[in-house]
Amino acid sequence: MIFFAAMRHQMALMRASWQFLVLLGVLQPVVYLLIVLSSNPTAATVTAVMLMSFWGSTVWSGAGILRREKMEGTLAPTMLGVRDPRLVLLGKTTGASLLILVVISATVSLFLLLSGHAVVIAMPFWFAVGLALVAVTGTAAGFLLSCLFLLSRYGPQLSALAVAPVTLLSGLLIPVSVLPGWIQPLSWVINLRWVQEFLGGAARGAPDFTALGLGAVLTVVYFVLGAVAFERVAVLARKEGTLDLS
Amino acid sequence: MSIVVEGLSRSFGGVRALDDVSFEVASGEVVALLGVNGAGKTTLTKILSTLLLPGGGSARIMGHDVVGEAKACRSVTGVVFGGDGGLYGRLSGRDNLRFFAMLAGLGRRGLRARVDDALERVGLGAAADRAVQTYSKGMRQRLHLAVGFIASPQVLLLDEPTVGLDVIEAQRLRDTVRDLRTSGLTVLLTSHLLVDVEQLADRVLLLQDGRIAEDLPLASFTGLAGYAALVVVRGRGPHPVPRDATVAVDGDTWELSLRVRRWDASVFAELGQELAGYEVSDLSVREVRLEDAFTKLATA
Ligand SMILES: Nc1ncnc2c1ncn2[C@@H]1O[C@H](COP(=O)(O)OP(=O)(O)OP(=O)(O)O)[C@@H](O)[C@H]1O
Ligand SMILES: [Mg+2]
Repeated sequence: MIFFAAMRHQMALMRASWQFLVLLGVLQPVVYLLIVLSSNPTAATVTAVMLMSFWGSTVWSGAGILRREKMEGTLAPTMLGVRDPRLVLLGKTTGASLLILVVISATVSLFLLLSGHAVVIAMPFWFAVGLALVAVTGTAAGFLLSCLFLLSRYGPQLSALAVAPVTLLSGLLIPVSVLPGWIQPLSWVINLRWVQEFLGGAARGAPDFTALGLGAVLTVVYFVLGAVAFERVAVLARKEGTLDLS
Repeated sequence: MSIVVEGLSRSFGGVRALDDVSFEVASGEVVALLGVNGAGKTTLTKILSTLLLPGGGSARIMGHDVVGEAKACRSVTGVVFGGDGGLYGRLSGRDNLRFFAMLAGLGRRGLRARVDDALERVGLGAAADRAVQTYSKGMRQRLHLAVGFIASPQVLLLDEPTVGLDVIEAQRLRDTVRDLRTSGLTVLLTSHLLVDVEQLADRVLLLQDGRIAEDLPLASFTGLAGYAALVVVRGRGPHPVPRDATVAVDGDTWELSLRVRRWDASVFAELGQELAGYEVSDLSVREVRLEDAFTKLATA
């Protein structure tokens, strides 16, 4: 199936650019961990480190897929295939977020193990479910952003701009409740916020299933918006002839 | 008919890239699209490949409309563009081809053999597992061609497939295309390398400012140059002035160019008489080429 082919293809591409993978998947969480290690890391801080690294990576890898493919001229041949290009892109973003999540999780686990810090996860099953949702969520966000960034010439700049506000709004750095009241509603549409609440709860032993549900619903919304945005991008490209093969 | 184009037009802002273009290409035919830079060749190729929507008119590939039945069109069409992009540089040639083959609709069954066969056919068997970014331009272009034909299309669109290739590499690419023809493939070829057209095309379409200016079999198109051979005579001292000849004099030496409608014994004898008594140092005859016709029409 083309979805899995695209997934493997994207993973192969990322492995071939392993320096990028090391930067995002190893260096990034290690830097964050070193910062939080000054105090004794709790499950909540470790979760935050993982999610921050993951979000940062999604913005740079998953969300940039279409733009990179366009720049390298591989987007047009993708559109020329008979397979649904949305399925191809979905496979690619899934591959990107799965691989990066695995690398980040491995890095964080190894780091904690080697530095002798034990972090207790009260409900490992629900924590794992939360992590699976993180992967799907990252895929959805990457899928949506990938299409949006293709519409703008300033994709990379927008990516950079998106990192900080989303980390803030998702409550990864400071609790959302500390943010100004008028800004807090914005965090409701950021599914990372719900995923983070659920993961934190699972680690403490009190999983918040409302958060899980909201995170899942938002993920579906992202996918739908992404599919719509992609259609729009594809129609626009065909109308204006912005896809080049040479 | 493999390709049927009717009243096709397309504008970009104020530029009319295609203007009421109509033509047909029969199955198994190789048609070359000629025209100066900006004549609209790539625009036409893009519309036929479903990458670009026409502004007006219609186009059908194997009976499928390029707008309404884009997917059906894609399933029967292979596209090869020249240039450096369009490949995953960090992946091997084999991985590239495999991925594009799956995009083109091939299933996993028998894919490996098919990919190997295609790589072998374009002479990339030995380099198949090297990253494409280490390939030469020629090797990349061969891979592009393999991507174009791996799914056994019925129509192949080639837009400047030999751009930037050395003569040997370009010949090799033409040979591969010629081999593909034996399987009844229909080809629409664009190239500024007129050797490509002379060797491959059955028919020539000349695009001028987005319009079809000529649509002729290759030989008839070449015939539009208006002569069969160009005779060049060089000599010294006084020069002859045969009818229809141009003479360039440089000090003591002269060069006479004569375009003849046919080149045979009688013309040769006639020329011999005309030149009798003059000091001729050199005589050369060159058959008319496609380039002569193209230059004449393009600068008219
Ligand atoms: N995406 C576009 N936006 C604006 N103008 C365009 C676009 N694509 C093509 N054009 C214009 O349409 C005309 C035809 O371009 P096209 O690329 O089809 O020519 P061509 O015959 O392929 O030329 P070349 O031999 O240089 O490749 C040109 O005037 C070109 O500038
Ligand atoms: Mg062109």
